[in-house]
Amino acid sequence: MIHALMACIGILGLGALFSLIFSHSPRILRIGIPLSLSMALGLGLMAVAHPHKGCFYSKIPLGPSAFHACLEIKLDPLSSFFLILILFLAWITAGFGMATMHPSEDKRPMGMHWFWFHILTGSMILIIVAWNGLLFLVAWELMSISSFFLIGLEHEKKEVRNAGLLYLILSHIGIAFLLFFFIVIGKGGLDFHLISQIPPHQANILFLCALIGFGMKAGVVPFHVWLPEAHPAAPSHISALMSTGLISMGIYGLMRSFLFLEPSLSIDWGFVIMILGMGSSILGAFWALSQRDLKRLLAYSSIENMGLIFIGIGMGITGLKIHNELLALLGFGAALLHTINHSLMKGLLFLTAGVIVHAQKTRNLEQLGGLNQLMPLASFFFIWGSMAICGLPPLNGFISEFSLFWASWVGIQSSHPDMFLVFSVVVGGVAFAGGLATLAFLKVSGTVILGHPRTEKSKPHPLKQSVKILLGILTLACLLSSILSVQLIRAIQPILGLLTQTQPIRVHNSLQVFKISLFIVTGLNVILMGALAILMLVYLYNTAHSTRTRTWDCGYDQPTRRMQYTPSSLVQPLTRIFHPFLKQYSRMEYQSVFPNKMEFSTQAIDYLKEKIYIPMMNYFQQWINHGKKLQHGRLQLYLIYVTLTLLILLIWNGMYR
Amino acid sequence: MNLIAFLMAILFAPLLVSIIYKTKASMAGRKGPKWFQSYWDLSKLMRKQSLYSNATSWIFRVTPVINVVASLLVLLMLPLNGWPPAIAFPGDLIVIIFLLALMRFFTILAALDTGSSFEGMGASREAVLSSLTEPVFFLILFSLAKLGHSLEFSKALLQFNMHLWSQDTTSIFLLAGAIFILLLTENARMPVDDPTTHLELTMIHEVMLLDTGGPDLAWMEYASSLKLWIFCSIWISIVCPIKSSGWINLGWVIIGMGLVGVSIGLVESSMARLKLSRVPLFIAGSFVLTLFAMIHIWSAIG
Repeated sequence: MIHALMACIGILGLGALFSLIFSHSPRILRIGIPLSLSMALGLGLMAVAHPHKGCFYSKIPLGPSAFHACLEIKLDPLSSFFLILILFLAWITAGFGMATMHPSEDKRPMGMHWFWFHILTGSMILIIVAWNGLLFLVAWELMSISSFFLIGLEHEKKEVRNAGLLYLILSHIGIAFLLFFFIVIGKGGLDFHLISQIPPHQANILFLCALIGFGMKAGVVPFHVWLPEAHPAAPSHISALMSTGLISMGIYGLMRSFLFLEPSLSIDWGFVIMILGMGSSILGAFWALSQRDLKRLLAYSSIENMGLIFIGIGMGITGLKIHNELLALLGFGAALLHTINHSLMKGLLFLTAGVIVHAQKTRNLEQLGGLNQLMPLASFFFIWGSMAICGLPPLNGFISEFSLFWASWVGIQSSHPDMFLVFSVVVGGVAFAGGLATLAFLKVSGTVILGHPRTEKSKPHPLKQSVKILLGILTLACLLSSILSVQLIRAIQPILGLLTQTQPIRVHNSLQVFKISLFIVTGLNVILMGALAILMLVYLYNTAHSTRTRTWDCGYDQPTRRMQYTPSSLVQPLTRIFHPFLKQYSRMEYQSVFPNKMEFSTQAIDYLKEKIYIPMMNYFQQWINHGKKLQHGRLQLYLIYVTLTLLILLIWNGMYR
Repeated sequence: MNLIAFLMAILFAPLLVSIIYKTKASMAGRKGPKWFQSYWDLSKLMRKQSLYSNATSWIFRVTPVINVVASLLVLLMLPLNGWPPAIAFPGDLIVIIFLLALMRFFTILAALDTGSSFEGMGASREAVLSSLTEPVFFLILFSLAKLGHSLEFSKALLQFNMHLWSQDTTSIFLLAGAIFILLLTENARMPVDDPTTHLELTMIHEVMLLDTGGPDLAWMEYASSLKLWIFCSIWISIVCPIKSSGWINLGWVIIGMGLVGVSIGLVESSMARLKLSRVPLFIAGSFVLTLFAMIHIWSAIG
């Protein structure tokens, strides 16, 4: 349904204009913005729910037909998947942002913010449906710029400006690679249909470009440095959208470019992507557990999860190259499942973190504590999200980890003997990353949510009804996408068929055994919840006579709140074991010889940023400074540049005629 | 017949703990507790009143139940030497590991829920050590699956018969050693943790239960004896080369469980607790054994 799709994009454009026009009237915005995003979501669903599985291709003419200029758009199963995901996430995060941003507290008009929000959503939709190199690049650039402005909402803070700038620079480095990619790949024209067989040596260079360009957006190590800076700087609903929707665009781009280049790629790319994935999942988890900032911790956990998705994609590519169909299907399947699941649980976690940060006025984990006594509902949501992200049954993270391990088993069992070692390393790596991520989330749930508050704090206002509903939807979604996992697999089968170039019926049959075990796992999850409920009743009967008292502190008479374990002391044994990877700066300032006032602060260091990116950027800056001589602001000289360039191009053209 | 492994575990798991205590007592020249002392302790605790700290929340209340439910579910999927489990499907070993992780997650959260610094200490140690054991556990189970050619745990373990033993002696030996180290670590046994010491500062697992009392403690203790049974039955299923699903299996199980219990008791009486900073190296030992086993398997198929 091309009309529904065009209407969806149109509505987003209108919404952007609308928020500019009514910039100073928050009442109208409060109704208009949720309405426009709900309509966009509805239209998107209509576009996908087409009898032909939502597949269509269409040319949209630009200007008079004499120019033959048109933009091609196409909706295939892969785009439909991401279309629904992005629209749903935009809907949820916009609702949350609308409910939590207070115009009264904040003097600045919110219209501009919602303008960029609509542009971001619209540009992501355009990227997904684009079937034309130019349209893709323009939309990609729009996405980067609009998210830059969204990050910079609180631009009066220096850290926000720095984070935004870093993000802008790194996304443009990514775009430079993508520009090269799309120019070379579209030799015959900009329409993606014109892409033909590409010789292997060229395909390798092109895929490397795509990997850097899209990996930069997905935030995998070593292209991740913008991510932990930008997420804490942005307002919570924006960090939620960025950490779920925006970085998934990197995954989409990678899968798309893989589809263009598939026949000429070698098996090594599967390994490269798996190595990148493992590196980013293990390092992401390492850095996550040593953070002291709640949102930064969540940002590093996104890096970890992107790594898991990359491992899935790498397994898929390897499976295709060793002609192991099941491995390819399961690898891509696990990647897609984890894309959905990660979006749901990370959305829940980031939004809940937003609620916590807003109520407690700090993101510093060391100062937070005992939130369960102050804000029980938000604490429940956070613990639920942590369970999901640690891959614990019965929630959805478990399902995607289960698929990932199942896929690596298929790799281990494949006839190729060396694959045993390769996939055993994958199993170990994923399990290690999972263990570290569990530790990171135990740290937050255990010492920040549970226990006593570290300082005397008054109870914050209860959550707004709309926030409760939105977070409740995500909470339920985390459970439902686990219970309905078999249906989910069935729904993504067309995408798997597309990615592996297999007939739908073969996909269906090959996945049969996996679906049966997934069905039993679902049954077990239901049994787990049922048994929990029944035994809980027995237990409550058993402990009906109970009294409340103080915590037993081994006979010590005066336990205080400050004696509780802090987040960093909880993970201290691990940071000590792995101290070469987790260097921490600590700074102590004495005021005088006699002990009175003392300052102590520690900081976890991201090696890659400090040792590679910052020096590299400084070097580039010095180098680029020489270019300033050319740019002096004299119009006459600029005209000479233009004329000279034109002359050179004409001569060049003449030589090749 | 499929439920027999499960019923055995439910009924006799606390007895396995008694075997360890008996062995330790006779090594020290004492008489030791009665054979069924663990059962008396459980029933005594069940009849007591429970006491909760002001700091605790619903997490503290669901943890005992989650511990019991998760370990029972694992036992439903676990074969006992020749006896098949009640539920078996490809991929069940992954579920087993994640259910154990669920148990641990909630135990640690419940410990931190009390806000006690002692329990925080135990939680910290348990969390860090378990994040190190998890990858090792995964690698061991996947190597077992590779040796048994099935991701269905019971099917894979049934392959560990005379034939496989004569073929892959080295890797089975290495894996049995690795899983024994894991058994000691995961169940808070001696070289890693000393459950009987009087100093809370040096404990890992027991210190997390300081605030748990009465029926709660009974549920937790029962769950941890089930967990010990889980690890022991995996070990027996690897080591015992004779698989039969008849009553003759009962004999093998009794011998096997007795052997594991006595050997844990011997380790406990002959070794001192390791320095805490040494424990990661102990786990690394298990990792290295697994690694050698995997290389051996690889060279056999390559």
